[in-house]
Amino acid sequence: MPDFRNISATKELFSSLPFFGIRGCFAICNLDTLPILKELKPQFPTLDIYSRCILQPRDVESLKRDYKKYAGKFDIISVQSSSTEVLNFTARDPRFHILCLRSRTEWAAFNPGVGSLAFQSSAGVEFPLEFLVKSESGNSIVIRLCRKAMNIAVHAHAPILLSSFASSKLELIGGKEIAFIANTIFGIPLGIGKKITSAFPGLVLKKNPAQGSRDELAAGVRIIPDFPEEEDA
Amino acid sequence: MKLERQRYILIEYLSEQPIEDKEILSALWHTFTRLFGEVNAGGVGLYIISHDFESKRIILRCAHKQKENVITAASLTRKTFGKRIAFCCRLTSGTLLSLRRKTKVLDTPVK
Repeated sequence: MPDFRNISATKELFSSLPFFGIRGCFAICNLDTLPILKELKPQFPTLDIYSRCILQPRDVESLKRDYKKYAGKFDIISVQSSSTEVLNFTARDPRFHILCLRSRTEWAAFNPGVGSLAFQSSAGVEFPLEFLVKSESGNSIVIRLCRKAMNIAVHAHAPILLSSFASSKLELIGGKEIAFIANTIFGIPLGIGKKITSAFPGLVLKKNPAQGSRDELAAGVRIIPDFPEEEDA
Repeated sequence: MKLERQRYILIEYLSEQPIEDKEILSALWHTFTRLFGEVNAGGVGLYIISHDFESKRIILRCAHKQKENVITAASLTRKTFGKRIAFCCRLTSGTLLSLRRKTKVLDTPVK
């Protein structure tokens, strides 16, 4: 989560991505900070930087309302909610790319049904690793609950994403390291662990690539060219 | 009894201030024990073989069964004695000689 109030730190963050073997990122921003990200993007031509917003709705109605504000402006739209109903709706709907599960209540709301829907519509299930980095002790119960939710996602074959939620270069986690963290702490096989930083983000991006602009066509929509009307015989 | 095999890991780090070997090793031990417990820490045999302050590279030695755990612990270590640090694993090898050979290849610029 780059801190766009501190531009130099954000520039440092993006420029140190190659050090960690990272070629692209989903930069979290909001409507206020989106223009800053758009200004910064051309300064890093070798990196694939995608804008991403996080919606935090209470129910499905507020999710639909929030979506109208953000639609067509961001490359990736993710939803963070502790309501199973909202997670179900998000996993099914092609307009939303990622289910963001950050806390205990959100892990508890995630069930095999949501996982299966996420697999069917290739919605990413994201687990931020900030709790492992930031807290010093008392992590065992948090790891246990996170591991449980992750196992559900693995069994449902849903695309899992693990992210560092870094706001500075010293909070980043490399791609290779994420595979090892997934394997040693959460018990995810190394084969799937390697996909977390390679295949799965690509799958999520392919889901609805036209999201960034309203002028582009959504998947499954095509314009039929004008054709002359047939003259009556 | 068969001797335990070793692994050598080349790790690069980012830091704002210069950091001593002792400080790095202490931070790694702390994170490793916190994550994997005393039993695993007892069998890890973690040592710093070399430390290049200029290129900010260290070579770690550990038991081959604990390699993944050591990389995980290193990647989750963020502070040592109040100084901020971030590690990134570059290479692993079974012998020091082959690690140095691979490091030369890593440093060769791509044509």
